[in-house]
Amino acid sequence: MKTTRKRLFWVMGVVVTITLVLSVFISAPVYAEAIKIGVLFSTTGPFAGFGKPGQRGALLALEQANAAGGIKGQPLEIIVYDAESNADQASRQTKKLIVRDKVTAIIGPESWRPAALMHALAIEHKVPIFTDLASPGTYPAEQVSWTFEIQGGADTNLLGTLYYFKSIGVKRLVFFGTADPLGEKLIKDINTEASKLGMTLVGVQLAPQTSTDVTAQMAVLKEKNPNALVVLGGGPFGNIAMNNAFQVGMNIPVNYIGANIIPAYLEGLGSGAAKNQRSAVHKAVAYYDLDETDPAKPTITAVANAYRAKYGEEINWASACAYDGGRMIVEALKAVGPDPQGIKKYCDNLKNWEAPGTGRHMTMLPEYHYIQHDIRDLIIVRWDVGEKRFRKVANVRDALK
Amino acid sequence: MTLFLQVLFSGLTTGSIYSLVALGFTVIYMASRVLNIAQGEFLMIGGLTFYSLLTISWLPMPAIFLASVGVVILVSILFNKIVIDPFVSVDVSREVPIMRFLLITIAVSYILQGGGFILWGSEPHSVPHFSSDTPLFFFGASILPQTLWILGVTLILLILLFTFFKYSLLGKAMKACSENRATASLLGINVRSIVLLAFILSGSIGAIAGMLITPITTMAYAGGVMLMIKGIIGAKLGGLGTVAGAVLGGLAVGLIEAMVSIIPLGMHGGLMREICALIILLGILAIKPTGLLGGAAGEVLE
Repeated sequence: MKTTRKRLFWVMGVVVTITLVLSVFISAPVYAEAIKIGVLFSTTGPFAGFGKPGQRGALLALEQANAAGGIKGQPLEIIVYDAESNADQASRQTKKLIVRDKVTAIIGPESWRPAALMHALAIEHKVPIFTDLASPGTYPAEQVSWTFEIQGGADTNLLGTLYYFKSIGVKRLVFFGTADPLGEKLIKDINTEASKLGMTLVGVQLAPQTSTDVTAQMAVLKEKNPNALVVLGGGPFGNIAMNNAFQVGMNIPVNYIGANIIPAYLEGLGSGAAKNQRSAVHKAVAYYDLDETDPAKPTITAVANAYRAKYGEEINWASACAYDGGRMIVEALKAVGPDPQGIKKYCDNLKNWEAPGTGRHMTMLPEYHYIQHDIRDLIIVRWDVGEKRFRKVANVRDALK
Repeated sequence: MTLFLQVLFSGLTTGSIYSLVALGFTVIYMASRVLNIAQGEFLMIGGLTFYSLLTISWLPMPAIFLASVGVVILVSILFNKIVIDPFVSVDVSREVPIMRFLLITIAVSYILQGGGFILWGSEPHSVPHFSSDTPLFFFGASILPQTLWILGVTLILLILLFTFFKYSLLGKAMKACSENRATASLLGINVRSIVLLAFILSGSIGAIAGMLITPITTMAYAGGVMLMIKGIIGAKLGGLGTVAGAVLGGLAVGLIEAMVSIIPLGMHGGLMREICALIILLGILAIKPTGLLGGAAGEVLE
């Protein structure tokens, strides 16, 4: 009995010793600490039409990075919240992401309106945010020093289409838009830019976003004998304005600027008005119509195919911009690691960055702290009511020649 | 001449929309003194149900039309049974607590909007015009055939409701309830049934209005709110408690807005239309508080 017990202890001691020795050489895999990224888009409320595809585009970019092995072995931990189309809620969620979840960066939301209260938090906590800043100069640079634009502003839509209008011989412009600061800013932009291109703004009308019929005001604009019309305003307002313009007999090109550049918002646009509608947008909106020689076509098509495979729907303006935002974060992380200050410096110095989802070349404008895209990368599209999708009409690049 | 006609047509288009909203609002007020802030949501549900049934259904148009009205009638019945009737049935002789019902209908409005968002999402939806969407031109000014549909149906509804309230027993019972519930009850009128009927009528009008206007304005979950506000202004301007007043008031608001929008106030003319309609309303009410055609019913609200 004593001998048996003694033998047992010896055996156990040998086994434990061998195990300890072996453990030095055979180590279990060490799991790298994840890099936390916040995804904050409006999946409820009035901006959900942009927020939902935006969220999907951002998630696709981040999940593709994880599928490719993460950032030098470190996986991305994606934390998703709903901004609820509301600036206060977006601000609360941002604080949660930064203070509680300790994210390295945030992407979203989809519009400058719900993002309005986030910029100060980004500066206070030094966490970069990738979202929409409307257009250059909407905010002073020091107020958005930790925020990075991912969409491109209404001003480039306007400028791209003005060049297109010039190329088709337009001389007299009229403007119809929403009675808000963006509307008033665009009027100043049109006056400045159109005159450089030999065009004149001959009439302006503004109306509340809730208008249900604006034919009277369109009739006033028609009396100015314009060659082209610029319409600003999203949702039903934009469609009503374009329909009413056609209704009063203004059968002229219409530059549409606003939210109705994703298919879901164009249901109310009549077939007559749709023939006149033109918008300068990034290439993903009508990637299928890009020239075969366009170097961006293969990349954008690959992103569009991946998006469709994952979500069963076509990529659109919002999802492609958010995808680019996600890729911007991924490439910054690869370059500098999970260092918010390093990410900021990387993006502050962005020059000619090739956005894979939209084919744009994006450069930081330091005087506005705004990442602007090159308007030569935009295309002119119109909405095809029958096919329910956008069709490319021209390249802005060609109109600039 | 062309511009004047275009302003007239623009005013008639928006005014006829406001008239339909005002009619539905007035019918409930006439029977129950309830200011139904959720009337706009009846339009929204009618328009979006019509859109859904057109999209997914193989049913013929008349059946889709009736089904859409039926859905809104069901909602209005539930609204009445769950929210209004418990208060009315406690003591039918008591006067309606206006503020309490106002707050209740505001709450119901938000609930219905939430339901609309869940069912139809945030994007606006459209349906085809009833006939062509090619505008008709008269002396250079254009009007859509859909506007003529709205005007025509508004006129038919006006005639039917006017006849109903003036010549039918049920219509007279409804007016009696609005003037004095206690006396009406004592005379054997079932006040609860009358209020239920008012909600059914109002729901039907809301559904019809929603289906008529959606081809022009599109419809989204919050699309009824602003229309309801303009409808209330129209109903008050025309005379709260009168059917003809509701139509006249709605048309007046639309015409005033259209005229003001083209006053040469620079680029803010369009913005002024929102303010001027309200200023003119305040002016008329200062001179005639019961509205243009209002009678005793309008005074109760003061």
